[in-house]
Amino acid sequence: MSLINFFMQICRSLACFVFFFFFSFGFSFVQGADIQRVVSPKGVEAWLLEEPSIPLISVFFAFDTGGSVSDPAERSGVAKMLASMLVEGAGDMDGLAFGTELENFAIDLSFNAGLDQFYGHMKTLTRNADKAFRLLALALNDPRFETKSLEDVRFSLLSDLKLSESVPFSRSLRLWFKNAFGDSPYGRWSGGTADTLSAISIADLRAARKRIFRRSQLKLGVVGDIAPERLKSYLDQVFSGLSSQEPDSNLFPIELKSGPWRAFSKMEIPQAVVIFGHAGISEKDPDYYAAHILNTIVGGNPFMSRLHKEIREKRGLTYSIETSMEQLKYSPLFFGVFSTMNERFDDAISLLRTELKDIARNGPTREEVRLAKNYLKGSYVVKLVGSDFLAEHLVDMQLYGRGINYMDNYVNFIDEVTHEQVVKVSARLLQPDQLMISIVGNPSGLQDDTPD
Amino acid sequence: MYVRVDRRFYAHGPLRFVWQERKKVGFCALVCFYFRFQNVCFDFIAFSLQETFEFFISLFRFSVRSLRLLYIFLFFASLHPRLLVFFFFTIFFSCFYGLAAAEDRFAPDTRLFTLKNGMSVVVIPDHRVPVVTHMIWYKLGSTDEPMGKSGIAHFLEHLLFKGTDSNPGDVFSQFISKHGGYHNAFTSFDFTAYYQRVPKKHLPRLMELEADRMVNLSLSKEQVAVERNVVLEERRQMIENNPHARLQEEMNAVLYRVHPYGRPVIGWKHEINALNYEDAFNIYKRFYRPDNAVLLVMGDVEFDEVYELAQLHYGKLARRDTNVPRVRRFLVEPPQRSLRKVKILDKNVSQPIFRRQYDVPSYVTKGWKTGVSLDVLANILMARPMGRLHKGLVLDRKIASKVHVSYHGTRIESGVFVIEVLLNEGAIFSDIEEEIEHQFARLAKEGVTENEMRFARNQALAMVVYLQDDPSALANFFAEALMTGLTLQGVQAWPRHIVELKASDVRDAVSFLRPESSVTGFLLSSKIDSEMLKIKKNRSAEDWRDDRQKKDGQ
Repeated sequence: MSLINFFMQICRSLACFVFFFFFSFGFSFVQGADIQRVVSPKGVEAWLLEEPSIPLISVFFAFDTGGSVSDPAERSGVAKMLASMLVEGAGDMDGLAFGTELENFAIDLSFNAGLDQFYGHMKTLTRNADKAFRLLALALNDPRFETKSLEDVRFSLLSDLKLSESVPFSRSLRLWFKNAFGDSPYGRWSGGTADTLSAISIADLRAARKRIFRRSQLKLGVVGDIAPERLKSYLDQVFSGLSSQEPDSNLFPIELKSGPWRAFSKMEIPQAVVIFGHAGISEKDPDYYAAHILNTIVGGNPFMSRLHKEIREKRGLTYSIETSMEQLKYSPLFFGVFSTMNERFDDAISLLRTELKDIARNGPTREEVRLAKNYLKGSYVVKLVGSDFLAEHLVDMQLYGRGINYMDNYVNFIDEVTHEQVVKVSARLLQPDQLMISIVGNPSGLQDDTPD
Repeated sequence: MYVRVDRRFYAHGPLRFVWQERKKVGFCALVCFYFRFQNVCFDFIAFSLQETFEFFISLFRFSVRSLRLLYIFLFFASLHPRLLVFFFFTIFFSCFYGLAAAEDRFAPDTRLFTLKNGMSVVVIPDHRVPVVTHMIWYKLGSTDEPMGKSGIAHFLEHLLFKGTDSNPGDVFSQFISKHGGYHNAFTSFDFTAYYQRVPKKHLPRLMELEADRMVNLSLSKEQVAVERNVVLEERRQMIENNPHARLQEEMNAVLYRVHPYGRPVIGWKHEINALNYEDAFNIYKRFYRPDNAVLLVMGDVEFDEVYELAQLHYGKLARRDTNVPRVRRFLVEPPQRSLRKVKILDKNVSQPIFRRQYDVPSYVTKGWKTGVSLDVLANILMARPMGRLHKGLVLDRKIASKVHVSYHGTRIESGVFVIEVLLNEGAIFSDIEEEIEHQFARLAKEGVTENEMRFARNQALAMVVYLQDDPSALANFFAEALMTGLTLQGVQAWPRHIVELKASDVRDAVSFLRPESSVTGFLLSSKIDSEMLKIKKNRSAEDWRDDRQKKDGQ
């Protein structure tokens, strides 16, 4: 009898053990200690957030110097083209076979070239992890770059290029960057031009691949149902074969044209799309967090910002207006977007200037600063949604040198900023007299200064 | 944790078996107990067995954690020959159990209850982050609007951010903002939804504010006038500035002649211009009431606490005596029996677009089987690279660069099936139409292959996992279904419906895609000389027909 009881007890402990083993993972993301730095035997480093409650794995990575800023001028668009070509067949699979594998196993695999960095993203069910990492390894290490796929990709990038001309927002964006940065790399459209896209050959793609895929530039974030040991072997499988050479000189002659200026391109649409901005403040700058709070007050916080209240809430001049602190590596920007009907364009723009001038001169109120700080502290957690977002966030933390404890430290960074600092930075960040504006639309009284 | 399927699995599956056979497995348990800290030992066994069971596992679609459990059982069994019998029995038992559990229903902790005043509440626990998503859905969409007042449901959605007597102005927004949350709202054909995401501890106050604005909205005429301009700017930004959106608007209007699905959700411009304070209040008083609302709370909460809070804040709203008045019940679409075409020429079109929209059953009008079949069919047509339309239009005939197919089945009175094609230069619209008809005819004749079914099943089951990673997507998935007349059990069984679907069901669904109940839209640049295209196209079309005849002949 006592023996049976004993066994039953053991069964119970076993059950507890099993339950403990499998269900003790409901920890919260935000206790920063959960981020692990995983280094594979061959030295590939990744930041990992293990979250076994959902059986999927999301991997995000960036090559720090691989963005379209480093495209050769006569081959601009090559990084974007490389990104598209990587999933068009690799190893012993042609584009069709490769794509079919991805579809059959429901694996998301995509690459993209931003202005500064080259990105990759892969999401898979845990049970297909072997397959998914194998496909990722093939795409990175052994892409086929077939002529046939190249023509398809070229065609699709050319049509994206045409599309970017006909969509008011992207047209305005191009106009702004072209005027702000002139012939320097940021001034070129990352999607290239018809001429450069047509000129790109397979040799160019190979050269770009060699130039961009450098282990020293790799930043990796992994989130999901994967243990560190298992991840290590995958990391070696995928990334250890890439070149360990340091990248070539990565300084680009970026020159931001000083304002004020206004660029206008006429398009027969009822609403003008306006982009405004000027030099901003880098995340490495000691004033950054003060500026970050200021931006929240000016236009960063949807529904509560000054610009939202003045231009939308009180006067109904726009559907949305937002500003941001763009962290471009060689030229951080203060940047904003809104659109308004052609007939009321003048009202909206003068209101924008007035508001910016007011904040630049007087700074925000103590209450505004307090509320913005609360908003930023809370929203950090609220925005942590989904494995993809988190994986990307882990990569950003590495790119901007924020340190592995950033999730814990962020609140302190915000808390330490005083009202006086924000007021002080207002005069530095906001330059309403230097505003550079691009307009696409048909407001009366504006002269088109771009050839159609 | 979402994947509580596993908990069911452990609680009722193999563990129960262990419990029943406890005398026999007892001594193994002892050994296991001894080894429990020696993970190395477990890992070793795990690795050596992984390959052996790869096939087995894929066969039964196991989750990784059930796999780990298998290793433990295996470990038991390997200690004594007699237990091998139990081991195999257990594997079979647990596999079937695992299969049933994993594909039976998803987000299984979801629960629904109804308050005394008729308001439904859905709770979906997710404890990964200490945050909650709070959504309230009203059964008021653009289809409930009176004639001549299109856009009033959406306009009212904007106005609900203007405050109440006890929480005037932007108190609501300020509350959300100062805790770092975000909030917004959207309106659709069949419903209006408001959502907020805030740190968990602010849920009570949030409910209080949301319950308040369900019945106590206060507005000034001036606020209404300013907000009308905002809505007009929204319309300019979303529709007037975008030829593609204008095409969709026109096509909807042509497809539905009587049913209000033909009206744009945001409203016609001239009708928005005339909307006023009284219109807004009329519709507010008729439709914003507890028995016309569904509350959905998702995040770091338990059922009991949401139950208490909902009773407290929403439970105190008075029950109405009358039923919710509905206009659209009287507006029934007559049979669809003509093939319609819409063409828009615009200077700002860079690449011609072909779009076809079929009026098809929705999930609720024809049942799960039809709905799921149409979902699967859309996937089989669109998949890149081997989907039928992608292969036919992009790979084989090279007349298009992108193909998109979607089915919107969560609508009350009818669903819509959309095919959208981005044309290559020199391609012509009639070739696209011909290829679509050809592929449909083939499907109707030959049916779909087993490969395609497997692919569609894998995609759908993966989507279920990916959905659970994204709170807002999961919440929308559940809520849209509930708002359009489906049941919670039905939505949770969606994966099972997919697994049970037969190839013949998908083939049958093709019959709903009749040209007579569709509208076809063409969007092209007014700069292109269409006559020139015509000559070019005829030649290419004939070439293709010849080729195909040759191929078919072989």
